[in-house]
This record gives sequence, C-alpha cells and structure tokens, in this order.
Amino acid sequence: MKKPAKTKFRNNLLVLLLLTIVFHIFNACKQSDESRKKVLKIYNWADYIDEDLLTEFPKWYKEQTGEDVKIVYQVFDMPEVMYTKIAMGKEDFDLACPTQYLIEKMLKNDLLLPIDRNFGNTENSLGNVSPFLRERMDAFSVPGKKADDYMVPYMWGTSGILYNTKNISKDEVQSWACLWDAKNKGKILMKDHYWDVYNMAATYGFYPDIVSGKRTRYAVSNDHTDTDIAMVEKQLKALKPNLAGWEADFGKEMMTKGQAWMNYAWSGDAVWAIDEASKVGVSLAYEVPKEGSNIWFDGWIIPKYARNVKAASYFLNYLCQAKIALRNMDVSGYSSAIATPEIVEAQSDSTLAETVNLNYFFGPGNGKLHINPVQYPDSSVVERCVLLHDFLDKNDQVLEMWSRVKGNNVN
Amino acid sequence: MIKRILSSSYLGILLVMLYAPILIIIIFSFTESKVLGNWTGFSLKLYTSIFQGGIHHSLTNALWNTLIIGLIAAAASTVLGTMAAIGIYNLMPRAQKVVQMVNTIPILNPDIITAISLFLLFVSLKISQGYTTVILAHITFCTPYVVLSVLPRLRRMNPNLYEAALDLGATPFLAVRRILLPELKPGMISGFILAFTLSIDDFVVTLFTIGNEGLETLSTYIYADARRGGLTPELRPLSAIIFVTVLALLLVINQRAAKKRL
Amino acid sequence: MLFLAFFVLVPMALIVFYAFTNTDGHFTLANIQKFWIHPQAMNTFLYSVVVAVITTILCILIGYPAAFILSKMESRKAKLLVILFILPMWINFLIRTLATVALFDFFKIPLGEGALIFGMVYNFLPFMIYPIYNILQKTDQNLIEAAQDLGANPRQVFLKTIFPLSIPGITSGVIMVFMPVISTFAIAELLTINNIKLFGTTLQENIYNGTWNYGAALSLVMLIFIGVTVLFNGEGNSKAAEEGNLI
Repeated sequence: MKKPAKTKFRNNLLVLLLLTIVFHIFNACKQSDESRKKVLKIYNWADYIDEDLLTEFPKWYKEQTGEDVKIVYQVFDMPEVMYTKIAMGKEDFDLACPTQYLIEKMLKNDLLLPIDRNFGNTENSLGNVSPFLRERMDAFSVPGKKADDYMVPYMWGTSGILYNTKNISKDEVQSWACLWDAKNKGKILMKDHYWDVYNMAATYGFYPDIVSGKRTRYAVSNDHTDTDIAMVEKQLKALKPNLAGWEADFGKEMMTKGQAWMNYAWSGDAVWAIDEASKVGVSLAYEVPKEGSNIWFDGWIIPKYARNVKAASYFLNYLCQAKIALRNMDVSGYSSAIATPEIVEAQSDSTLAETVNLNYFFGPGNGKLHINPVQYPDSSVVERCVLLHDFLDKNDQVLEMWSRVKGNNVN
Repeated sequence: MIKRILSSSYLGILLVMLYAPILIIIIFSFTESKVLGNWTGFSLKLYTSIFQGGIHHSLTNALWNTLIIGLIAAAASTVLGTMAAIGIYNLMPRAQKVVQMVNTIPILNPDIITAISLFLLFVSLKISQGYTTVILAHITFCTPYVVLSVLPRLRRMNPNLYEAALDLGATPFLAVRRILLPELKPGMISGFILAFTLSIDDFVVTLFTIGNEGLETLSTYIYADARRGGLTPELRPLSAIIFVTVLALLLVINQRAAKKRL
Repeated sequence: MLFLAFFVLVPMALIVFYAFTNTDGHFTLANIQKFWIHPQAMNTFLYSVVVAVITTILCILIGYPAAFILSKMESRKAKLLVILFILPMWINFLIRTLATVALFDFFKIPLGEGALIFGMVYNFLPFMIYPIYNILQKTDQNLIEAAQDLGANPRQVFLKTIFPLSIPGITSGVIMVFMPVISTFAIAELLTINNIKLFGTTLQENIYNGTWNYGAALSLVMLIFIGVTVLFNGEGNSKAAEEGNLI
C-alpha cells in the first residue's frame, strides 16, 4: 500500500508550516527589553519564603521607587540544577538562592553580578546580616570581588547528628565515633552529599592533629590534599558497613518513624524532624560532636544574566528587614542570617531552662539567651565549625574517591 | 469452570498488589502528618488545604499545567506517531529498520540524557523555554511509544483493503479516513493513553525544559517540595481524589457502553 | 518524520559532542577511556543490566499470563481491566514509591535487593502487559481455528500459533521495560536506601555534579551496547512477523 507521494509531501509540508507558525507565535511573546525591566525573576527552594511577601514587595517597591514590578517565582529542587541552568542555559534569573559552596563556585566562575547598593532614600537593611556570617564568607572573596558585594546570606545552620534519644544517649553523640561504633550497626543513615560527609570524615580522622595544634580546623576541612582525600576514603570505607544506607531527602522522615537511630542532618532539617517526631511520640534531639563540623548558609546572589539588578537589590534590602526575616523564618523553619534585637526578642523562649551564648551572632549583651540551641548554636559549638569551600579543581578526584566509597554493588 | 476461577483470581491478586500502595496513600490522606506512614489522628484538613496554595507555588496550578501539557502532548504525539508509523510502513525494509532504530532511541535513552540534550538544543537555538518547550520535549519522547503501538496494527492489517477502496473510486483522503484510521484506532487509542501516562509522570525532561517564567508541573512541584520539607502532605488527598475520580469515570463509561449493547 | 529527525538526531549529536570533548572543549577520548579503566561505572552498568534482565523476565512471566487472560475476556470488560492496570501509573512516581516503602515498613520487610526488584516490576509491569494484550487481542481468530481444525490440542495451539504471533508484542514490552530499568534512579535510591546503585544513579550524579562530559560518554556507551542488542532483536522480530503472515 503506497500513499501517493504527493499527499505525503503535502502532509510533511503542513506539519513543518504548523511548527514554524507555533515557534513564531511563542517567540514573539518573548518580552521586550522595556517590559522585562518591570519583572523580577526569583529562583528559590520550595517552601523557603513567605509567599505573601511576593505580593507585598511590589507595593513596597512602588512606594520606595515609584516603579512597577511584577514577580515571577520559580522553584528548583536541587541547587545543582540551578547552577546548570544558569551556567549552561544562561537563564536570566534576577535572584537565586544557592548554598554557599555553590555561591563560591559561581563567584570564581564569574557568574555573579554585584549588588546595586544605590538605594536612594530607602534605608539600607543589608547591614542587618550578622557580622559573624559576613566575616566568615569573606573567605570566598577573590581579587577584585569582595564576597560582601555579591551575596547576602539568607538562612544558616550547622551540620550534626540527629538522634533518637531512646536508643542513643547524649554522651554518645558528643563524638562522631558513635557512627563507627559497631553497636549501632544498621541504624545509621548518612547523607548522600559528599561536601558534608567529606568534612565529617576529615575532621574526625585528623582530630588528634587539631587537638595538638599541628593543623587548624580550617586547613583540615579545606586543604583537600591527597593525604586528606586518602584519609577520608579510609574513614568512610570503615564507616560504610555500619550504615543502614545513604539518604538524600528522606532521612529526616525515616527518623520520625523510628527506622534509624542516627542521621547526619542539617540543623534546619533537625528542627523540622524533632517537631514532627514529637507528634507521633518519637523523641529526637540534635548535637554537633566535639571533633567539629561545618556551618552552612544559603545566600541570595544575582546571576550574571540578570536583567533587573535594581529590583533584585531592592528585594534583598527588603528581605533583610527584621520583620520580614521573622516571617520567612516562620514559614521555612530555618534560622535567619539577620541579627537584630527584634529577632532575639521574637525567638527567645523563656520556657527553655538552658541558656545559649550568642554574643558572636547578635553582638555583646546576648550571652545568656533562652533560645532553641538547635536553631541558634552556642558559641562553643560554632567555634568548632568551619565554613566549607568548594573543591574546585580537586572536585573530580574527590568524586572518584566518593564513588569508590559508595561502591558499585560488586566490591 | 476451575480455569475461570483461577484466571480471575490471578488477575485479582495482581491488581491487589498493584493497588496496595495506592490504598496506603488513600488511608494516610486522612491524617495530617507530614510524613507518609505516620498517623497523627484522623483529620480531613489536608483535603481542604489542597486548594489553598500560594499564587506562585501552587499545587492546583501545577496539576492544571500537568493535565494540559499531558493532553496536548499526547494528542500531538498520537497524530505524529500515526503519521510516522504509516510512513515507516511504506518504506523499503532496509530503510524501515534504520528509521525504527532512530525511533527507538528516545525510549532507550535515559531520560536525563534526553533532558539535557533537549535543554542544550533549546539553548543553542535561543528558544525561550516554557510551555512550548515542555510540550515539544514531551512529544519527542512520547511519539516513539505511539509508533510502537500503531505499527504492529498496521502490519497485521490486510494491505489490500486500502487498494480496494481506491479501486472503488475513493480519494486517498477518504480511503485513509474510512478504511485505514478505523483499523488503526485501537492502536492510536492505546498510544494516546500511553503517551498521556508518560507525560504526566515525567520529571527530568520537564525539569530541564521548563524555563524561567514560573511554570510548574505536578512532578516538579512534588520533587521541589520533597527536597526541603518532605513530601507535600496534600499530595495524598490529591492522589486519592484523582484516583477515585478516574475510577468512577471508567465505571460510568463502562456502564454506558454496556447499556448501548443491550 | 522530519520532526523525529530534528528532535532526536540533533540532540543525539550534541551528546556525542559532549562525550568526546573535555571541559575545555577539546576533542578527547579520555572520557571513553575512563569508563574502561575505572571499574566503578562498568560494574554498576553490568549490575544494572542484571537487574534489568531479572525485572524484564519477571515482567514477562507475570505479565504474559495476565495479558492472555485479558485477551480471552469479553472486550468491554477486558478494556476496563487493562485501564485498571495502567491507572496506578497516573499517581505520581515519587509518592507511589514512597507508599511502597511504607508498605514494606508495615509488613516489616527489610529494604534491599528484593524490595528493588519488587519496585521495578511494580512500576514496569503495566508496560509489559499493554503491548502483549494488544497483540494477543488482534490475533486472527481464523489462524487459531485453523490450527485446531488441523488437529492441534490446546497446548500445541498455544505454543505453535498464538505464542509466536505474540512475539512482536513481547519485544515491544521488552524495549519499554529493559532500558528504563537501567536508567531509573529514584527506585533504587528509595527502596534500597541508596545501598544499591544503578547506572541511572551514576548518570544523574555525573550530570548534577557538573561532569557532563563523562556522563555523556557513559550514556553513549550504554546506548551503543543496547542498540546492538536491539538490532539483533529487530532481526528476529521481522522474521517472526513475516512467518506469522505467511501462514
């Protein structure tokens, strides 16, 4: 059976025509420069901001500058996807909120624009970010580009162990060694995230060097020498048989169901898990072991291909106001990077017995606050935490080590 | 008699196993717990909060987009796939095999590879991403499945029917409509259903072609939420509602078809 | 077909491009080399192939009888049941898999390899049943009657007539099940707590961590490997189809 060649040709032509028309229609809808200036494209994690703010900001912006702006909001599931889209796809987001190691990578790869601090008559709230975080993030600066000009920390926290108080005692958790302890075999969930796990293994393995003063914590975590990588590999391979598995997102959920006794967790997730677990009668707690760990933060940056730097900068200014920061903290459950007296007042909880020393974060006079220590770690905890750098050119080597550790089901 | 009981129970057992997880979802839709598997007391709150999403990151928007994209992509794939199948059928056997292999590539390719290759394609062509690109991407990986559904039907069809119609004076167009398409219809329908199923569940390809104008489908919404605050609890009642609705629709259609026969 | 050419071949070309270049854009065979030298990817790949083979065989063993039973039923009822088999696929993949995890939890069955195979078969069984059912349904009744008239008993009728005619359906099913099993990562991640790593996970890691070149090379190798297998299969397929028509 043969369809006459003419009909087939005609059909093909029709399809081609249709496609071309479709393309043209949709490409014509591409925004012109003029109207694009009135749009603010924000790229963020899910559930990480109070969405009512997205409708309130345009009004505030109009008051401050007299200009209109419309917010387009997109969520990503993993910051790596965000990085890919901006680096390879040249997407024109005005604001994005990656985790600090990716921010560093973006800064070094020239993918960021500086924040426009010409706020005219509007008060500049960017200074509300705790000096503690701003000092630490200065380590990301490259010649000619100060970190402070390119990123605004949003939420921060520590990494540590989320544990079930019924099976694990608080003493045990003071050292990472409890993860390697055979009595906990099969009840430990590790994060499938090589940044944090590398740091944990390196800190644990080189702890004697840190104690004796031979190496600084900072060096242990961020030097990434060949010996470091080898030590991490050794430690992780010893750890692996003790694990129940590696989780990426659902570890905290599994902890609330009592399926594991310990989980490497970020403080924000820990707060969520402790709360959820209490609803089903499971008691969880969080500790940062004595050997040390890391501090992380998610920060706002303006990607290279942004087209509305002005509105983006104003938005950052807006977010740094104490009231706004509190609302975002409420919705996300994480700890804001903003450090003003209003935050202290709102977050203080007089029902808590113990106090936390937060002079490092909020400034002098905050040495004895009744506040959730998981959300706001004591100064003694923070002293043993480092801000992690990106692996940069050691990335491939570390990844290879990582895949050797994870194994391939055969060996 | 025994044979009938055996076969019915075989199917029954299979269906039970297939639906067991669905049942769990439905049961746990009646509790507020954020974790699937924890029961924090009976509550209908999740059912009401499905519709309370924000304007920007909303479950109902995502659902709506998913349905529209699914229907359009499935329809377009069915048309394209049928045309392609007819085209393949008319080729010489050698050429047939080559084209069939090309056709199978999207099925064989891991979806993440399809995703990034299409992403790169759209980027290099400077096409602004959004609805169009998602639909085009979905069509790309759905069409081969349609071809796979229609081609066997074509092969089984009696080739003389078409010729006979032409001989009897029908125009090619009429012959196609009256003879060919009805023969192929079951294949087209199953292709459509397959394409629709694949489209609504797709994640990676959608993720990389979704652009930056705030478009969301059900999959991207769910995965984005899963990373931060655990799986959206509202998904459970939503899935339950979808499931019950479709089931009810099916039964109704079935009943009406039965009545027609009588 | 123009459409196919454009949207399939051009992206493929891009992948090939990436596979053979390194981060600076220079042509290199290092990526392919890496695959052969480092046992990880190779081992993962082979393991995934084994999992895929087991899953596919199980799907055929479980799915064929189901499709057969369905094809014998009254058309209207059968259609309804077939859709019932597909319906679970309309519930989102992630929540389905999480519900499976909860199911295993409930019955206190530990997660691991068994769970993985169950999860895979669960997800891909409908894709096997569908094409087999379609083909069985369209099998010309006359052929079966002819065989019966010629004196064959039911078993012979099945083995010599029905089964060979349904092979194209099985082939379609295999194509739709085998490769996707190798490239799915979420099921392995959730049902084995990431203890078992499938090739799809390797690919995803490479893409997400920025080593696109290696990821592209890996997928090319996989495609070629499977492509060759499909070619052989295709040969057998067309032969069977011809034989089927000759009767």
